[in-house]
Amino acid sequence: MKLFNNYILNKLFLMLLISAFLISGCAKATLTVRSPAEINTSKIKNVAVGGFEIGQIILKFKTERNGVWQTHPILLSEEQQKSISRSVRARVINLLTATPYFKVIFSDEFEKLASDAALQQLVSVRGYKTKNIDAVINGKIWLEIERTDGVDLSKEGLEYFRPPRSRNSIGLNLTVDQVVWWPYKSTRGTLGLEIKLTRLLPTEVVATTFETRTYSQRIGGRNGESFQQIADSLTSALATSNSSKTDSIESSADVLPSFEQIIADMALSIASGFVRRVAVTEKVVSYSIASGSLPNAKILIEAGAYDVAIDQLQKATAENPDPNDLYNLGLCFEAIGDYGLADSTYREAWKTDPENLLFAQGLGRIERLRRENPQLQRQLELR
Amino acid sequence: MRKDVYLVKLSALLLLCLSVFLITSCAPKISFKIERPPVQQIENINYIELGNFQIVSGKIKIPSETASDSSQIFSRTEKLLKPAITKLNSKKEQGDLTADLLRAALVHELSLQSPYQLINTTGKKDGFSGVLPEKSEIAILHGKVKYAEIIFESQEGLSYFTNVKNKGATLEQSLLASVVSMGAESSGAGFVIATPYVEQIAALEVEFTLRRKNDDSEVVPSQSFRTYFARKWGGSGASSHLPIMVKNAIKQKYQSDEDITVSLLSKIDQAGLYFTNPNEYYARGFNLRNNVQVPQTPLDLKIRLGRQIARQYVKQISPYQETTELLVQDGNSVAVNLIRGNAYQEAIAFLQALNERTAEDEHNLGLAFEAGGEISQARIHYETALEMDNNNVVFKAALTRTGD
Repeated sequence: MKLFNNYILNKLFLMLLISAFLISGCAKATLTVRSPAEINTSKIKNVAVGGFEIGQIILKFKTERNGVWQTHPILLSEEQQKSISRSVRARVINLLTATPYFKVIFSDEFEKLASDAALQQLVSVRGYKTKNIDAVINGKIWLEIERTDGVDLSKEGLEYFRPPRSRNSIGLNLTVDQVVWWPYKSTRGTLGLEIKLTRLLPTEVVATTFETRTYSQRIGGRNGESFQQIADSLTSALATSNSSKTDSIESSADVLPSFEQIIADMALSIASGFVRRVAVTEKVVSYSIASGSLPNAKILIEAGAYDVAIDQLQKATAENPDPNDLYNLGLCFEAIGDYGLADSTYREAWKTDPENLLFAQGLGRIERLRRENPQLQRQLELR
Repeated sequence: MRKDVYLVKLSALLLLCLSVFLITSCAPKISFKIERPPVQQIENINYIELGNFQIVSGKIKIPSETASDSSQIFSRTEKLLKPAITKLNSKKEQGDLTADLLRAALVHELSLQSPYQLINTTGKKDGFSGVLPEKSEIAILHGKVKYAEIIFESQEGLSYFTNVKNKGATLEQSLLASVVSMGAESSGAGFVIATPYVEQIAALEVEFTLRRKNDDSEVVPSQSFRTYFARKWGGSGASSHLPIMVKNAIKQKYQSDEDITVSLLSKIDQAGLYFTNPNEYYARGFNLRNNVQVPQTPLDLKIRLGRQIARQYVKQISPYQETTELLVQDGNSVAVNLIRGNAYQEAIAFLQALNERTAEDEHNLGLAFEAGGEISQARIHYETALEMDNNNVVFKAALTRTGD
């Protein structure tokens, strides 16, 4: 029954999301645009990955019975700790190799180094043998996962009902309070990962990020707040709709994942965050399309055929510079990541019709990108 | 019965979501991403080197108690659990884990937020050698860290008063019955049963010094920052190992980000992200389950406090961005459009080129400057606006906001 409920709930949420998106569209089209890296990584192409130093790795089991807590840490050998650190490192490498901007050079020269300080030393005396490397990535991990086996306590009203035996009596309908023990299992994981990108020549720390992810799940026990249930079902509804990014291991809300799975999920998230910082990524946004003189252009933009649209719009605007067409042209330039041209095209449109909010918004988007990423211009010119 | 409740809740939620989407998607939002200058004046420093961060022993001051109305109402039922925490002590023997996490958080903030180039991020003496920049442009950041962490995993005897209620009873009668049982429970009648709980109490205090590398002079005066954490999972909500006033003070000042009502809407936004920007969805960790009933790990606690302090300090020495909502005045419509479209530079150029500016235009010009982080320029124009229209409340507010 519970399964059925969950199923209905999940389906409803998906429907809700889809309808919400349809409504929120209001004459906007979704575009896939390239968003610039937060950190200037131009001129860095070949990257080697060093070791991930271990700050702390703790795994433990906890039990609670009648209010008595016991903790049993899992003793990990140095080799086991290293293998955990290597699995986190592998996640980062996976995602880096997936972007077209970096080439990961496989060399164990940097991996063998014990610590960040040792790497700094090697880099500053240029003692490395591997050639053609622009930068090195290394990191440090802190990990703590605990699994608890315990009992919730609560007072519940149990209903007792006896149907009436005769026409005159009203029967019996009582609620009897009882203290109920609800066993539960829960898990909580925390992964902190510091990732550092060091340029070799000239030696410079290009970026360091320190990201944390937590994972917590609980099965059984007394039912949580209804809000928590909704939030949970939402996450699991999405988790089951398959994605190429996650491992294809089925995750269920009713089973606690293994330590390895928790580590992998958290590492995937941190690695995606890091890649987004250092590489140009694509994202889907919804911007309004102006209704210009070319009805074709709108369809082309919606379909993502930006190059064809640019071609047509350029021809059209050369003859008749309609500001709406110019704006759409700017939109195409923005989508392919040519922000310089997008800017000048938006400006042309805006100059013809300065009262138009749409055109001002186009200008504002580029300005905002420039403001937040001062290196943007250079970065995109070089690629 | 339960299913009905579910359905009602669900449909309410559905309506809520739809209306939120309708409202937010089409109305033009005027939220500004504003760059703020650093709190402290820093001159002629382009590079930062991370120096020594280590744990020192010592006492951390317990936050001053603030009397809030809500705490007084419940003050009769509150209970101080044994052993009561009256002081927070940092011990040197705990190792440098917390200091190391704080260092990582600082490096993260500095690397992403600040204009400074980082040279050495490990805190070790033997940093990069070779070609190093001019020593007078390098500042070294040191920190003395005090950290106290107390975690109770224990049980308290709670009383459970059970009774039998007749469903046929009137509303008044059943209300009376529940009041009686609540009263009995708080006075300790009924079954007393060991109920498990976890309580975490932690405090972090860091004293930062930023010194110039060539002559060891202080770039900014050394500053101390403190933050706290206190939370209990399970057991009774009214009892704690901390005096209730102290606990309330911590909750108000340092844990205001834990408000749960905001998160339902953000959950829906998160789910939307899965379709529009899967990269972002994973990058922000929305694929990870999160159950608030599960107590956090000690590592969480350390990172949380470390990050809070790092953010506070980086604001002191580096410009930072924040999002605020500001009121655009009804001035020149072209300029208003530009500001609403986030094109501040364009708006500044346009407004400055105007021959005559009204008070509203002056204000909007100030707004565009403020949004771009040029606070002193913004002030000049706010002042002009106020001179032209002495009683305008919005102009006055803008001046106070940008004042020292």
